[in-house]
Amino acid sequence: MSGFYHVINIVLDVITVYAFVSNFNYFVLMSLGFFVLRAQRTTEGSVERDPLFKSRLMPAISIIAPAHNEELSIVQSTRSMLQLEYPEHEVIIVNDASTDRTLQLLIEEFHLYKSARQPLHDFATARVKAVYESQDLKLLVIDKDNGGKSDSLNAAINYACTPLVAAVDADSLLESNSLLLVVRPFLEDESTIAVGGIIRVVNGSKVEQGAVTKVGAPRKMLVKFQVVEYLRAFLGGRVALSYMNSLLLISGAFGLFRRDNLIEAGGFELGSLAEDLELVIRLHRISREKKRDYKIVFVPTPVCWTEVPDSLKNLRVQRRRWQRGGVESMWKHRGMLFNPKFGIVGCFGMPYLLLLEILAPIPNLTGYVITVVGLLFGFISSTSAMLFFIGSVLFGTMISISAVLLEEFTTRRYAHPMDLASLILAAFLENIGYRQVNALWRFRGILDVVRKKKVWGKMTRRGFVLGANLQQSTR
Amino acid sequence: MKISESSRIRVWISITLLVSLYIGAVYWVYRASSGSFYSTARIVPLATSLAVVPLVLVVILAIISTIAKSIRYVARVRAASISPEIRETLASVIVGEGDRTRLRWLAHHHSRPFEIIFSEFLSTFGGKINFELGMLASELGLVKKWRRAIHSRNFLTQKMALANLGRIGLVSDPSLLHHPLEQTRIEAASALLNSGLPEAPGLVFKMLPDQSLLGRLLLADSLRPFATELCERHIPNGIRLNDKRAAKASVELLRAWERWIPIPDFSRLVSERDIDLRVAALPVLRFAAGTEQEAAQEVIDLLEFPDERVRAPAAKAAADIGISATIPLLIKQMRKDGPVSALAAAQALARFGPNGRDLLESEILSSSRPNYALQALEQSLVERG
Repeated sequence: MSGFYHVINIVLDVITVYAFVSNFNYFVLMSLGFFVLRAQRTTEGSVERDPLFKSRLMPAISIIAPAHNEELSIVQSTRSMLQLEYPEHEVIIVNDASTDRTLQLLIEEFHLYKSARQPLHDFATARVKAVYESQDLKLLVIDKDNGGKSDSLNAAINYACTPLVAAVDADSLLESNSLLLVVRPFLEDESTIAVGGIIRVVNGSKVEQGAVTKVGAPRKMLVKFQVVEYLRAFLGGRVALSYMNSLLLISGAFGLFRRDNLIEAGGFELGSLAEDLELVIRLHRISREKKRDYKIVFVPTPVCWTEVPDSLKNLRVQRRRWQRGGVESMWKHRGMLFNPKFGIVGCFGMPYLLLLEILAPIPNLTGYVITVVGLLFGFISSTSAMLFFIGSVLFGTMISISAVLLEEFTTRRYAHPMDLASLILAAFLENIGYRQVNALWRFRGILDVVRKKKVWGKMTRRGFVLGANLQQSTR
Repeated sequence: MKISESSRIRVWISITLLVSLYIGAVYWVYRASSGSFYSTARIVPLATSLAVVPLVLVVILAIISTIAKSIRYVARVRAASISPEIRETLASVIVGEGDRTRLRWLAHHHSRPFEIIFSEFLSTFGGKINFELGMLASELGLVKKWRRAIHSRNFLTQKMALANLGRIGLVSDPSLLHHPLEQTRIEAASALLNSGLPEAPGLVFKMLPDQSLLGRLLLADSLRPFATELCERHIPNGIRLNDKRAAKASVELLRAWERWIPIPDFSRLVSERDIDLRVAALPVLRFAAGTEQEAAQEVIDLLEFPDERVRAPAAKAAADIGISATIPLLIKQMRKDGPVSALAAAQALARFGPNGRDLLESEILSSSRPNYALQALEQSLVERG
């Protein structure tokens, strides 16, 4: 028995070292993110909107948004997309066999007519039943059989005729200047092939007429935890990874791509649960294989507001799906891992994502279980338990608070001091309970992949303020 | 957002220093506890220095940040309350009725909101009022401050200083056009153009090819008031030059302005260049070409070009200029080409008035590939209401 205990203690020590290494890595990325954001802050407000908004040289953009049963928010979010400040853009909504009134609402609200518009590309997709267009030709709605998110995005790419394509979620809200900001890396450097904007949590903020009018911290602690997570992921991780041109994820909620590169890559992968991650990895792969000079960039100023789950049930569904998608994408592109042919992406970006993000729930959960059970039955030393606690929880708390401070030192979207204080408190508490539960869900996501379980999972949304308004007006 | 090379180096130096400091501190703790015999006595301080000490530091920083945010919040509320008075006093001083002593007091005690409002006034007005504002800026010491701020490392401060000095005609240093940071170059160029220096448009035109598309786009807007002068003196030379980037920048200017300013021999100049430039010049042929015949030949040449990607914009240009001689070529293109080019040809035909639409109708009825004609005709009818 003592041999077994000895092995358990060694396992815990290894996990402790992993926790330290992982958090040290976050610390470095977060610090790099801070310095990069500080350097960028001096230039971010440097361009007035007017000359960009008026210019004939701006590349046109197609905003593509798949919608499946989005009756709560579709009208407002479509209107907000149409009203974005940009010289030339069109909106393509793909109704992916909604069973609610999504299509009818769009037809009625925007006076759409059945159009003869033809696809300009031929990605294979589920059958397109009809295409509807608005009188000003700025809104196109594709009504098709059910094929999933990637299938809908590919259908929209087929109809897009602009050099740039922005993939967004139909239930998200883009800030009015977000297109002008997200397009900037394409204007600054012609080798840019994809750009991601920041996704922020809308829960707690005031939404009027499809726009966020007052930014505020949410009330529910579960949502605050997610705010901290988003800040850590976007302002820390993605800024730093983008700076090293090894950004592997442009969120499906808001990303801008060169249409030619999307077509060359074969569009979004059908059936993928993390089509955004998979596509970006593929874009890296193709560009590296063809030895092109290219950039995939994250910019922290163009904001896309999204509603995050405010119940444990919905959050669990979302996290398990993300985890399954992440594992699948990694498995598909495993050939890039530690492969010097793929440069920093193969040698740092992919291993970082796999070892410190995707597989992290396994050692984390194992560590928590061993520590709790070991302390209860007295087969691990208190020193080992304390070390694990320091490496995992305390170090993690430091990273979480740093993420909130990073927001405060750079973008400063939360105006009220109480918002900052409440987010710092959330960053403190996040590591006690929430992270452990999250690790459990993500671990189950890995098990789902092993068991070949592949469902998108159903999530109910409130449709933030705008959805609630719509509900009242239509019923 | 792109950052300058010097900022890039600063970022790497900062991160290296920070990480080295962190590792150094942790190693020092480890060494300091190395006298202990028990491994626990060595590892616990190590772990503490790795995580607990930084945590304490971050918590202190968080407390300071919250206090600082509260102070800023109060300052912002105060600034919001004083702003109407600043605006009112400034406006009345400009028209010669205000209390200058009060204005001086406001400029001294609320310098930040005062400067912001002053800049707003400068960007809103022009002519005589800006002259008055310039005198006032001098009197209040703002000119001196802005001259210093031109060399600030904070771009936003630098930009505001350059813009304000430009608006009161006090920027005349062309060396800033060669600043390492593109944003500064552009801001300096705009300020220089505002200053009224006679050679400014020529100098700014010369710097165009070295800027990014964003820079060229912004400068095109600043150069708009000098379009006639540039079209006469600089753009023909720009296109003629062997430098591809200069030729491209010249054509882009014309595209950005979309003004009817004929450039002597424009079509001939363009047709002598490589295919990329010829395609880029297609949208401006109707504005820049001296005569329709001159433009027609160039468009016909490009409609017969083997690459489909060239024929699509050529079809659009044919419709823009209304070259009816291209109709047979467009019909052929609509029937034979791939989707993008075929649709462009159909859309071009739809713009040739009733004749073009009749052709599309007969295409819909008789062709085995009526889709693009149908789409173009439908769009044309919708556009016409």
